Amino acid sequence: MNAALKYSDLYSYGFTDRIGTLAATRSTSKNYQATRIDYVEKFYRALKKLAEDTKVSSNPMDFVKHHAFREILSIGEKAVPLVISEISTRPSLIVLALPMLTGTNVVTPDVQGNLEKISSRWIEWYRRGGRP
Amino acid sequence: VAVDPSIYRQHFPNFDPSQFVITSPKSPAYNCIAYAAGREDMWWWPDVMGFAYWPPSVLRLENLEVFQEAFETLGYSLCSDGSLEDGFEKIAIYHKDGVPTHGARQLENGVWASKLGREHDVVHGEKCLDGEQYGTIAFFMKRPRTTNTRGS
Repeated sequence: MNAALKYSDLYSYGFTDRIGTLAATRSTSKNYQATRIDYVEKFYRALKKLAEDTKVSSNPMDFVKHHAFREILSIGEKAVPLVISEISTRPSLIVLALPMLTGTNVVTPDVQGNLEKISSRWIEWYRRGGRP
Repeated sequence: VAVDPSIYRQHFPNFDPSQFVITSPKSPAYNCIAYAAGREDMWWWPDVMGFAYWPPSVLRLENLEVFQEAFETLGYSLCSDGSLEDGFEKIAIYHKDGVPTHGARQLENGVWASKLGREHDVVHGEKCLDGEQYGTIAFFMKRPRTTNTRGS
């Protein structure tokens, strides 16, 4: 039995194939091993839930405390390129996951609060290969 | 394309379409506290992660005293209510169980204006946002209105 991936959900949240190519189906045989498609799907499903549940909240901690945010963190460092892709498409509070996923922080007092500048800092950090 | 304000009915049980108007596109660039403080280019919040801006002289704690102090740095002082007073601009801070949740500012015509999370700016009646999401208004503050008191 194959489970179809809902591409519409991914694209509606800015996913493009520049991250990588997704297979459209996956096997559920007993030898099944987790693949890229699993965590990509998990990431975008969690992001969609997170965005919907916190959209009228002004408290960034509501975003971070949400169970869907913890699901994204559970993906580990494999989520980093997905977050970078997302914030490259549009400013998003998902940038808050990056310090926790990478163990580093690029936010300095001069950019605090400015989502666009904070996102730019992280994108630049990623382009440099994750170096300060 | 005009957005139907009733999309917010599910969030605000006191939603009244006659007192609720969407006034901007959605934007993740600023939040309600920044908007109440007159900024539309940044987030204001005393989050422990250090993500958002917070006046450097004020503690980064999520309580009402700290939010009052933050607005005192902008020249506001506590006042008794949200009535329109000639020559003054007012803000309101909402809370649930003593934890700040939302901020709104009063426009010159007496109606209240808010940024709803990462969504739209709206104008609304004083009680329209009361409910499970934002709780209720904890306090009002005011300061003399000048001709260009807003940063944006």
